[in-house]
Amino acid sequence: MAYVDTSIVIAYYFREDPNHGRAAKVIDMLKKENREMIISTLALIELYSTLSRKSKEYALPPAISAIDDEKLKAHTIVNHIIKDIG
Amino acid sequence: MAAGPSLPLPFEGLGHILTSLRNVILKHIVEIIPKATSPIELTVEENEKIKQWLTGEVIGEGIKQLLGLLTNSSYTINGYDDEVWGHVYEIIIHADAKQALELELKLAEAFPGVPIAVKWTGEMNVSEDELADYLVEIMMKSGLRPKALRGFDAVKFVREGRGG
Repeated sequence: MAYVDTSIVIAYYFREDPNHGRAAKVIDMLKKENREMIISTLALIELYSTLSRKSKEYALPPAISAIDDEKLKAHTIVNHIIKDIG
Repeated sequence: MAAGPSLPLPFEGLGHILTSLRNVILKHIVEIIPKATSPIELTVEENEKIKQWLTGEVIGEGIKQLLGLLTNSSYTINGYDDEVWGHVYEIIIHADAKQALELELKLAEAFPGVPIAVKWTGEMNVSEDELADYLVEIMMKSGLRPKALRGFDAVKFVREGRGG
């Protein structure tokens, strides 16, 4: 079992992040070893808060940006991150 | 020679769409060939422009064909160029949210990697959670995900939030 911190989750998700390679190495290794990854409720709140606060620092695919609700956009990305990370 | 195994089509009618797309490409080629009376040397930029134009035409035609098969609702297709996503196809459909999102899922499946946005004018008949689930599914099918812009740094952003 491994606790995954917010910054690793975000760096893993955004391929353009300067630390994406390092984050991917850690997450991929955990996946390969079938280690369960844990994100705390606090980390989820931090994830949601960081993505909402920094929404101008990334571009959403047109399907998502067409939605006129900032809260919903952050909610969608957090759900996508969880699904993406496995 | 034995025929190879036939691949199942992801949905009914795709064969018809592929045939009509082939026709669009052939039409362009037939139009271009008679004009080429002498060898033409294209620059890399010209080549890229022709490729983009042809691709755009084919995808636009494909989207129209698929919409014709999947919905009876009226719609308009607009396009715009986005500096991050390239050419975006924006569809405004006179249908409710659920129908529009189902349609968008099919489009994402048929045209992965193509930036498509569907807007609807009808009733908002999905909950916030359902809408988020649809959008996640659309991202999974299309393969398009958020892109970090220049200067993005997760470690720095999280540290800022923690007051560090």
